[in-house]
This record gives sequence, structure tokens and C-alpha cells, in this order.
Amino acid sequence: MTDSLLHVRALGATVAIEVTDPRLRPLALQAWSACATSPVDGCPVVQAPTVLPGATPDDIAVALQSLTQLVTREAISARAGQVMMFHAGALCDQTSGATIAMVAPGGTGKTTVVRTLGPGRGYISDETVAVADDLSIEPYCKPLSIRRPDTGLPKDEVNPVDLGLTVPRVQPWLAGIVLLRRDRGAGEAPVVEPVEVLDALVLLAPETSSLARVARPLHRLAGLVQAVGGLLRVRYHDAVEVEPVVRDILGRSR
Amino acid sequence: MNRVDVPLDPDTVLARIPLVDEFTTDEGTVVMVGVEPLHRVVRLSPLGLEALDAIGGGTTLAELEDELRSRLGAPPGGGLAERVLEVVVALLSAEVISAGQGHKTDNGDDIRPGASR
Repeated sequence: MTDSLLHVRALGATVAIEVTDPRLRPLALQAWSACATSPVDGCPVVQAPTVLPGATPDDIAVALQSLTQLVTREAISARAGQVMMFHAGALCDQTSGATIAMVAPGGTGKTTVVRTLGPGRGYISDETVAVADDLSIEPYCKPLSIRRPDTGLPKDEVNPVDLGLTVPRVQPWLAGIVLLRRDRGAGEAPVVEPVEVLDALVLLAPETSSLARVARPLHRLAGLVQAVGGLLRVRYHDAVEVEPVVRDILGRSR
Repeated sequence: MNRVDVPLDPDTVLARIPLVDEFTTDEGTVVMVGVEPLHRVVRLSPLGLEALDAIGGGTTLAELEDELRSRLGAPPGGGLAERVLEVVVALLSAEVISAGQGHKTDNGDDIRPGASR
């Protein structure tokens, strides 16, 4: 083990990040501090991307963004076949641990919803949520990838604490799962609609990772959906419109 | 080549692609096919499910039509052949089945995709 290794807890796995470049290291330490953990011998190691001499701040931002993707990929690989993993943002109630998983394809609003509705709640992830058979959730308090308001690219990797978010204080468990669809126009009322289980399987499967590595994947996925009362589809325009659904699900008891 | 690009004629041989999993309720059936990371989950229509069952280890399009006529009877308005063709195209598009041309041996036996040798 060397000082260049930063260990993080991701989806229930420990991943070591090797950052030797002094231009990246303090930024990586800052961005990942919310999920820093104790070293584990033999855990997978992710090498931070190489940054060329003369790199610009944008180049550094791109490297940090790539690093996040590498860590996520490594964590998913480590947990494949063990837990159900969704492309989802998630928040939990800080007393009960009740958690909402908000499933959506990349780039369609997960981070914005988590960032908007997260303060005062436990931040689980803005990217990937791992759910065990007993519905317990392994947090992945990764940096949020925030699109810049001017150009949009590159994204900045921001420590959740810097955005007013807090890590879970209790063990999170899945209380509800929703599919986010940002397809309503400005001024149109949001729509919350139940999704029948077979359609839920078709809609959720593309937003999972390593689903086929799970034994009897469709049965497991259907069981999970049914255990939380079914899938809801939330069609909205502004992230704040998702608040009533989040509040309702986080109010559930086990 | 896209599986739907295979020209379909009565002698086209159809075969099931192995399913990773299948989940059925009173409302219908969903199947999962493919390998990581390119798995697909597809909801089958009632006729699609019946066709998939009838295809079994391999059958020609003509045999499939006969089998479905035997199982389900002719639809009131006719047009079973067209409906079977539609469902076969849908199953091919979803890559739940494959299609190919059977080859005749010197003995005139068909060699079908997926058949044991």
C-alpha cells in the first residue's frame, strides 16, 4: 500500500484509487472524501487517468470525470451477480433509512433531481444503486457529476457535502422505485402512473448493470419490484415536481 | 447481418435462441435473451408466445403456420399467414428466434440450425 492510494466504498465494494499526479490528487481526495474508507488488502485498484504536461483545467476536469466512470465500472464489476444494480439516483430518510431509487438513463436528470431534493436527506448516489435480496442498499456516495451552466462540458466532479448533501446516517433499504421521465413541458402538471410488472421488467432491464449475472434475473427483478409495491413512472418537467413522490416513498415503513 | 434481413419464405428454418430467463403472469410473458452486456428483455404477445413454443427446436415457416392453425384454428377474418409472418418478423427483430435456410443433404434430410447432430 502506498500513500498514493485512496480507498473508497462503492456499492458495497472497496475500490482503491491510485492517484500519483499532484495536480489530480488533492482534487480527487476532495471529491471522493464522502465515501473514503479504510484500506482493504487485495481490493481492486483503479489508476487515475494520465494527464499530460501543460494540461488545462478542463483537461483535469475530464480526467476526474473519467476517474469517476472507472471507479463506477470497477465497483459494478466487483458486485456483479451479487446484488441488483440500477442506473439510478437515490435518497433516503435519515431516520428510517427508507430509500427511493429513481431510475433513468444517463444524462436525463438523475443528478439534478438528487441535487434538488437531496438536502436534509441521505445521499445514496446520483448514478448507480445496489440493492440486495433483503432490500438493503449499499450506498455509493460518489462525487456528483455537475454539468457546467455555460458549455455543459466537461462536467465537474463535486463532493456531495459541498452541495449540501449528507451521507446516510442509518442503513438504507429500498422503499420504492420509480422511473424518471423528463418529458413534460413547462407548465404541464407532472404525472405519476403505476407500471404493470411485465412492462416494468422491460423498462427497468436496460437500466440495470450485469442483470444476466444474477440467477433467474427476471424473477429476481420482478420480486424486487413487487416487494416495494410496484414501479411508478414519474413524468415531470422540473426536478422539484418529483418532491411529493420522494416524500411519500421516504415516509414508508418496513 | 440483421436477423430480419434473412429472406422469409415457406422453407425458411426458424429456431429459438436460448432464453436466459422467462417470467409469466396472467397478463403475459417476458423473456430475456442475449449475453452480457447485450441482453434484451422482450414482452411477447399471446401469438408470439404460442409461436415461440411451436418453433421449439426448429421448424420451417410453413410448418409453423400449420402448427398454429392446428393449435388456434383459423382466425375469423382469415389472414393467418400474414399474422404468422408478422409475429415471426417481430420475434426476429427482438432476436428471440433466428432464421436461416435449411440445407438438403444427399439423403434429402434437412439440416436445421440448432438441431442436434
